[in-house]
Amino acid sequence: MGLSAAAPLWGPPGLLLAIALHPALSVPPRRDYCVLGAGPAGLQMAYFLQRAGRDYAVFERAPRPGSFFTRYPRHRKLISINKRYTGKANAEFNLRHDWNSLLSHDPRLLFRHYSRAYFPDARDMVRYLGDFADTLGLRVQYNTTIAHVTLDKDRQAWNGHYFILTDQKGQVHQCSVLLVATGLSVPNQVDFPGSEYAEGYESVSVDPEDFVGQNVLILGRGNSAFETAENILGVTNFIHMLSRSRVRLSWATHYVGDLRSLRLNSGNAFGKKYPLIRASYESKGSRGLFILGTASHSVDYRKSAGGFIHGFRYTVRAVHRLLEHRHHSVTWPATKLPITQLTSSIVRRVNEASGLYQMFGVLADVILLKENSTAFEYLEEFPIQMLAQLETLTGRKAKHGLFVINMEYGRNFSGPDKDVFFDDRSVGHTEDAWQSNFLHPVIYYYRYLPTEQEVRFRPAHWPLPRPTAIHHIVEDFLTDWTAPIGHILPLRRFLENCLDTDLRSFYAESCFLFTLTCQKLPPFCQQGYLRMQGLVSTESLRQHRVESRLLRDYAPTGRRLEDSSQQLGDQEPLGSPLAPGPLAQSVDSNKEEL
Amino acid sequence: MFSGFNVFRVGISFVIMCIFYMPTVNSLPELSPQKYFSTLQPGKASLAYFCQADSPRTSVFLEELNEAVRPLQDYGISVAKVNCVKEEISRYCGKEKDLMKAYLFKGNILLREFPTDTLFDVNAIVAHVLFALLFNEVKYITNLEDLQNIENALKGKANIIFSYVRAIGIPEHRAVMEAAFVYGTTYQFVLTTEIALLESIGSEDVEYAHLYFFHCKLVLDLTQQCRRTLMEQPLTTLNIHLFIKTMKASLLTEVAEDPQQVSTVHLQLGLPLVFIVSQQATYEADRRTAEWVAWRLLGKAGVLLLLSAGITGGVPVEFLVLHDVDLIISHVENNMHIEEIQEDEDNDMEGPDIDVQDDEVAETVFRDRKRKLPLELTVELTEETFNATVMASDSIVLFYAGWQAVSMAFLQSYIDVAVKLKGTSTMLLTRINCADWSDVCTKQNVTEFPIVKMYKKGENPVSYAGMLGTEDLLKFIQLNRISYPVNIISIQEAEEYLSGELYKDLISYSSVSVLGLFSPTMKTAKEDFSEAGNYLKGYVITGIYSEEDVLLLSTKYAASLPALLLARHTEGKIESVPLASTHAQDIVQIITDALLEMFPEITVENLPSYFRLQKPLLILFSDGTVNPQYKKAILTLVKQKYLDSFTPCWLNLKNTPVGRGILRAYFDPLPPLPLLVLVNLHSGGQVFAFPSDQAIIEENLVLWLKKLEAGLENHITILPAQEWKPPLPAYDFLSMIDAATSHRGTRKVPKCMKETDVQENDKEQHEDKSAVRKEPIETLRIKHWNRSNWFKEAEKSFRRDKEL
Repeated sequence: MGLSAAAPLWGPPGLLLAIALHPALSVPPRRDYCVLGAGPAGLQMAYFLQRAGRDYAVFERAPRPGSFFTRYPRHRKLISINKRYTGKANAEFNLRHDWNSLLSHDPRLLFRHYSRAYFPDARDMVRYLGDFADTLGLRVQYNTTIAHVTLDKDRQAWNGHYFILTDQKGQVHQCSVLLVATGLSVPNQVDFPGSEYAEGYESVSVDPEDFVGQNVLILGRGNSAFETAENILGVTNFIHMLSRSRVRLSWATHYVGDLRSLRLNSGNAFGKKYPLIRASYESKGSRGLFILGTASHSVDYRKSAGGFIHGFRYTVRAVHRLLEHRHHSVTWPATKLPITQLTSSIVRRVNEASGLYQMFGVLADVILLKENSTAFEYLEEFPIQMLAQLETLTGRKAKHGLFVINMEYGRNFSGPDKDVFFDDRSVGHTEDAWQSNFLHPVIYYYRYLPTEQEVRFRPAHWPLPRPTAIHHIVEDFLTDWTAPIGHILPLRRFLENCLDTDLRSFYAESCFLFTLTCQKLPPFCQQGYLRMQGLVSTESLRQHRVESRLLRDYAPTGRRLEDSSQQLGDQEPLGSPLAPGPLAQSVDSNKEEL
Repeated sequence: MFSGFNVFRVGISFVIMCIFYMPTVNSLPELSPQKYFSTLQPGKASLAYFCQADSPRTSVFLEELNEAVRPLQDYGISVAKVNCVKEEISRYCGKEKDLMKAYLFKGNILLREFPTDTLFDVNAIVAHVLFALLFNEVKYITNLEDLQNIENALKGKANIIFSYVRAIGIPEHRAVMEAAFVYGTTYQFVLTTEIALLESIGSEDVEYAHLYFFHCKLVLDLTQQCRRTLMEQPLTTLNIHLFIKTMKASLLTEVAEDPQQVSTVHLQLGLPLVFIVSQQATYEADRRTAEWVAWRLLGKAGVLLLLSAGITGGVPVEFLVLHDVDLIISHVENNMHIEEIQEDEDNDMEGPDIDVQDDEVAETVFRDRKRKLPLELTVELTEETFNATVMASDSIVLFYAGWQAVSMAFLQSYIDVAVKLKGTSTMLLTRINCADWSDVCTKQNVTEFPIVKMYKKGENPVSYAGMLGTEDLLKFIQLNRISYPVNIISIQEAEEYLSGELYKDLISYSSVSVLGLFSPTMKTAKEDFSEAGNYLKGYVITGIYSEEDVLLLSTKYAASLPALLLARHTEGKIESVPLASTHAQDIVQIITDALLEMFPEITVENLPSYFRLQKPLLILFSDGTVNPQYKKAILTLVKQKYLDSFTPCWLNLKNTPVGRGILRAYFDPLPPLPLLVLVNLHSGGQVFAFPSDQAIIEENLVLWLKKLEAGLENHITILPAQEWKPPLPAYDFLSMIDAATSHRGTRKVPKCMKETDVQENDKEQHEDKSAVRKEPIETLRIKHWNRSNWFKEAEKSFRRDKEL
């Protein structure tokens, strides 16, 4: 196992970790994966490792999972929504409105079974996380505080070194990969004259009685500040709130960490708060050390939902997929489909995918085209900042071009202090789709995989390097992108023009005609009809086909036939009823023939 | 149609007077020159045809002239035939018979003379006469400069009606002239026949007549262009009249009463009224919207702004809540379209629109969306019921996605199967919408749509791999009533099986029954055959016989073991095929090949299985059943091995009408049927035709084939080898983004941009955007320009194609 990722891979020692050479005498128990913390992110990672049959252990300081939620938020109400009814049955779609559940195959482990409240109580979260660990039989060592982490260089190790963890009892654990999911429970320390009189959010009393008749100054205007203020509002003389930036409302910024219902979060100085990690969630200092959960929020701070359960449950899955390929040669899961399914597969994902939606701008779907664009592989939720390294990270080939499907808000229309309810803010015309303001799917087409340079020096405000072509699916208030003319047709035209082919679907009768009148067939006929899986039209559809004039009526009714042939004969080559490829031939291809 | 002129008559008093003066004379008066000149009245127009007395009394011209009497009378113009008699010599009487002309007089003054060939029919007569009379009212121009001069001169003063007709004297020209006769004093009429002029003002489909209304009266700023409204209906007198009426009506009317009570000129003209319901608070914005809509719908519908909320709820008013202003436009346009669809032939001659559906499956499914299917005949599954259902009974499951057109098209066939099987099948027909139950579909390994799977107790689910149509799916389900291969246990049963007696109700679904003959010891061979039979279940009936007395059968059918017996039920023949290789795959191949016929009727359904053979197709196109003589001739050739390198088949145009489309691609003009054609589909695409003047008999065929082989025959056509390219271009969002960015870049403050700046720029952009919206003509034109430009390119390339 360890041989595949042998010696020359180790990186410079991390800032957090000190290298110590251990005496070879004591051989501690070795694990492939060690997870620190049994909070939501740690349990989520444990779930994926368990399902993949990996050797892992979770170390948790407390006697039960989710200890953060036993104390925070101080006023016990979570700000993550628990929308139990969406009007849809699609489980994947419903996760878009379920911000508390972890991912699993077990539908009983959905948070909606644990609370009826739209903003649930923190105690329900504690209960939920406990059940999640127990029901799935996750291997968590409770009451184990990892006091000490060191690196042990070893050429045999996957990453060139082992992580040596020492717990409070002096027990040593040797780990090939260390996954840190400890959250951000260390409070932010303030330092200014008089700061010694300040009381931190972590220890402030939640009893309003303690503030009766006082003047209160609250530092910060984030969710925690407002949560505290609201609690004591009724009993104080004055509450002053002070912060460096204006109040940011999440509906203006589209950032869930900003104030939503005037409730909690500890948004603060970013540099100190989050460790330095790559877009693959691996530490920049130590290979094999990954940061999961809230602490990984630096990747998308102030942009996407990676600091929250409904965001990091997907980034954890992405990390797991990266690890599966790096250490177990399991390529990134992908569905291989014929090109005729291209439009449908995109429509399906943008309409239901939750990870794309929650982690917009961070995780994106990638479509890798096969030779001659006859087929493609569909990869879900890849960290897009790692796009240049896609081949090595996933084990898949991107030689023949690719599409990236990302969800985006309009570039310029949202931000703190902007009026998101301005006139004309929604776009209804397909030709204006690129000006859509609400979260909508954007498809990038690249002829070649972008290089690291291109990703790094991409245009300002672009999530990805400049593509060969781009398509915006026009925004929809209900995030329903299934309109035949408004959404699907422009998408098809975009894909067709990228691939330089005809992606229309045809009835068997049309394919029959093409087979006998053209040397080449459109992909739909090629991959369906010729494989004896043509689509036969029913009588009523055939009638509509004649009425829509997409099919000429070949019914033997004498003169009519001749009439129509005279009318159209001059325009259409060989009288094909749908005026297929030949009519729309580009000038180029004709040159080739000449 | 004629009733339409009533309006005109009412409008112009002197027309009525004319009628009074000259009691309706329908026939052409014949006068002598002297008499004729005596009837001329000052200020009145008259058209006279001078002809020799001895000329034939009837000619085409006279017939047409006779027809023109009535319409010209309506305009106060008299018509006469003047017989030049020897006694009275008039200078209008020509010297020769052939040089006779018609003359138009006003009073005694000669206005114009017309050679008879310019007055080729009644339309030409009316058009020319009115054109001559309305010389001042209708300005004929040939270039853009003239048009611009007129336009500039009339800004702030009067509106212009500009029309283009392909030629003087055609019906459209007459229609314009008739309109000018009525409206010539109110509007400035401008006429051209120059296509280049029409093109230069940005029109499409320049081969057709066009009529524009130039709203110049409103224009106060001389640098501004007059807004233009194109008349979309064909140029007929009635249409022009209606069009002008709607142009005259006020753009936007504000009303406060019940929509039921409101009546405007639009309603009288049979056009819809659009009420935009407004509230006091949003009045300003609504009025702007309404104005914009009104401009867009000018000539198509009346637009009213309904101020109060006091709507009592009358009967035929349709209330819609539209989130997008464009929806109003499209709603009106679509509804109009339905009424006009029969006559409006030039609609589909418009350049292709990238917003118009060109996917036949998507379009037909969309058009059919309102039809209610008897969905209740199939069981709809959910996440909760899926497992329990497919475990409890043998089931067919259709996995589909409600938004996917191909799925929904196939759902119709699926429901048809359910209708046909109603109450007779043990197989439960179910369906699951993967748009709702995505997880279930993923768990069943369904990643594309539509997919049909069969779930049988104790067996792995089987994916259906046949045609997505009623017939083939029905066959699959029926044949799967039993499991394959069938174990035959006695010689008698084997004979019943081969004769089709045993599965009488199934052989209509499988024209061939296959029986594998094995001696009891041939274990692996039997296993392989079973595997093959199982693989082919649902497509062909297979059975196995391996009792001790199998030799009886093998000797009877001269087959050495292991062997296959193929019973062709339609032909009543039993063949034997030795099983040299016993790999399951090979057996499947042998059986599939055996299903092919020697001279099949080619159909939409079976072409792929013959196409697979990669041989040129020799197709006999027949209008109805193939002539037995021809069939015999071809079968003889097959037996004599002349046709080994071809796939001979015939096509019944009655069963496969699309065959006509194929013939049209091969022949121009189409010779009479039957036609024998050789199509080299796999290499080169040449199409050769058997000479239609030769009889389809063996000798001729052999000779023709030999000539073909020797390369002495010329192909009649070569099938195009083009790749299937995108049918239309896509929106180029990248360029649009670039354009927006560069536009913005010029305004950017050179140093770092503060947040306020950004906002200002944003605001500007929004204003820009709304400005664009308010100028719909502009946007549309840009779009159209791109489009028509593209279309021209395509056309050009196509022409080149033809030259090739």
